[in-house]
Amino acid sequence: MMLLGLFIILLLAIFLGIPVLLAIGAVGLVGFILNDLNPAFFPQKMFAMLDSFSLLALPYFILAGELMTRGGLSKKLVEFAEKVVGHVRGGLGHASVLANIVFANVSGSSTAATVAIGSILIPAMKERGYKGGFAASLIAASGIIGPIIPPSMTMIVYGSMAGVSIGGLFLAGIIPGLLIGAGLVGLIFLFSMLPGFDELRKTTGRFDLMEVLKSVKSVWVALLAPVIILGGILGGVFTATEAGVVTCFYAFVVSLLIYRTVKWSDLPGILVNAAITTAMVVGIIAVAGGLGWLLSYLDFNTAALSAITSVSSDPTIVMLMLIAVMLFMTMFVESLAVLVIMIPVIVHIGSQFGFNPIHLGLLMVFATQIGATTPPVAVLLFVATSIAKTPYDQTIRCCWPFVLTLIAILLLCAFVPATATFLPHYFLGQ
Amino acid sequence: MQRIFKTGAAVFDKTLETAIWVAFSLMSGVGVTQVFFRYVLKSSLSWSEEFQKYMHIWLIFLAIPLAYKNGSHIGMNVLFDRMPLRMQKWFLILVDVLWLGMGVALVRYTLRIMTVAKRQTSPGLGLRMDAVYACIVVCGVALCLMAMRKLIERLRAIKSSKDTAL
Repeated sequence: MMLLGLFIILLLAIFLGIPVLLAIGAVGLVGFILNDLNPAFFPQKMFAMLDSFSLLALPYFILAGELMTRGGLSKKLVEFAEKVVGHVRGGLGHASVLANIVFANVSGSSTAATVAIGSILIPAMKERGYKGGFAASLIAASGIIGPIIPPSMTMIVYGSMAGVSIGGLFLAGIIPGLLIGAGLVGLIFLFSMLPGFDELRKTTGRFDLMEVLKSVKSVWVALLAPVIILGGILGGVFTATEAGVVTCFYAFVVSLLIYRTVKWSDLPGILVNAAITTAMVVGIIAVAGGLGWLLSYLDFNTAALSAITSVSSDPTIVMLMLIAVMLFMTMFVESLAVLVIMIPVIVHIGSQFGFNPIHLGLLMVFATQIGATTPPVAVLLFVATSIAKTPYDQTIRCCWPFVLTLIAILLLCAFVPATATFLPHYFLGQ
Repeated sequence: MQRIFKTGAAVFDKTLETAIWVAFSLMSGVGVTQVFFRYVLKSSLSWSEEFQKYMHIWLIFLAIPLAYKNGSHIGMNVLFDRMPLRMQKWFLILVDVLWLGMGVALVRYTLRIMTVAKRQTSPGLGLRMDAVYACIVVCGVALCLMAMRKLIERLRAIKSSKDTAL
């Protein structure tokens, strides 16, 4: 009863608008006191949660992203993507998907991708007659490629909390990330054939290889990033944290010494910004460490497992139920909060049913990202809608084909584990 | 009085920001040096992993209050945006009071751990562990100061809007 009460109060507090870190911290501390546990354990568990080398990948990749996206990289990426696919039906839509795939190589956050790409492409789409709600939905849906294709902040969070190889998770995201891209491109093609979507049939000029090569010059930083990030991990040489350090160094050299988009005097500001972004995520992980300990003390994991097995003990159905629970919860509550609260339960259930930890991790990260684009509470749709300056109900009407496409790809990844496990198995033997 | 309050707050923020970027620079510098030592000189530094970990923890606990000050912490505003303006103001005051409580709890309970931790040293750097745990106390104190500052500003704004209405 106490367990259920704490859980409901926590979700309510987050839904009401209390910052996630504060809500988890306050509910956790109150839980410790109500259960006659020494509250001094709470900060100790917070500290223990952060005392991890793999978590260090997060600040390094965030800093690298901050350095590389200075100097208008997103604008150059959009121009590059338009030159590559602008001549095809639904060109601007495809450009959004392609720009997101490349942007995902330097940024591991769907919100950052939606803001960076959306603020350039949504006005351009509206100018060419795209409906605001459609443009917002498309940008939000393609924004989730960011945390699926490496590097990924969400995967670092999952990997460090669940004790799963972050390098393995990074590799596991590549095929599903490309599948999302292919699915969205297919959907845009489909729309372009429907009556009422004349704007999607407009194209932007002809394909010119010389122009494409010229624009590569301005985006090679992003195109080369995966070679550096994945090169070391694929060779089994680097850990994810070391890949983060090297990417950071690469971004530093490119931005300060080659492109000169960042001045030495900008560095303190960039470092503080990156630290704040890191603290927003890692702070939640810290308090989740305290709450997670309390929940396992109260046998939450066992209760969740018996609730699930009372419905079915078929592994496929259990996997589908986990996906459904994550999709449902993230429809109402902020997706990172859901993930950090649920990770211990997911790991417990996953080990009981013998699920591949990398496959399971990929599916859970993917599901929480879809939650961020599923109404009523959909952070990415909120961001894209505000950029599109369009009513939210129009976005809600337009978003469902995109959400259903993403769910279909998620199910494909669930039923064909090789989509996630092939690369980690081939390169890392995991 | 108000000028002293504002200057004090600005100095406090600046100190916090400086500590953050210095810590981040040191952490990244050591990270790059370690990669160089390990892959080029083929000889790892024994202390670098622990240094980066503890610097990271300090960095996070210093940045949490700054993120609170900037209103950057992740949260949902679906219901908040639909609240009447008056309710929004009081809700924000409630949130500040919660932050204040959180700050007090972190200071109080971490000090208890530190009395035990001072007898332990870290394996790599040989640091006294209470010095590492102290970042949570610093975070708690900074949260309290930020929360009090925000509460004073909010209550002042509510009072002045009432005065204007009268």
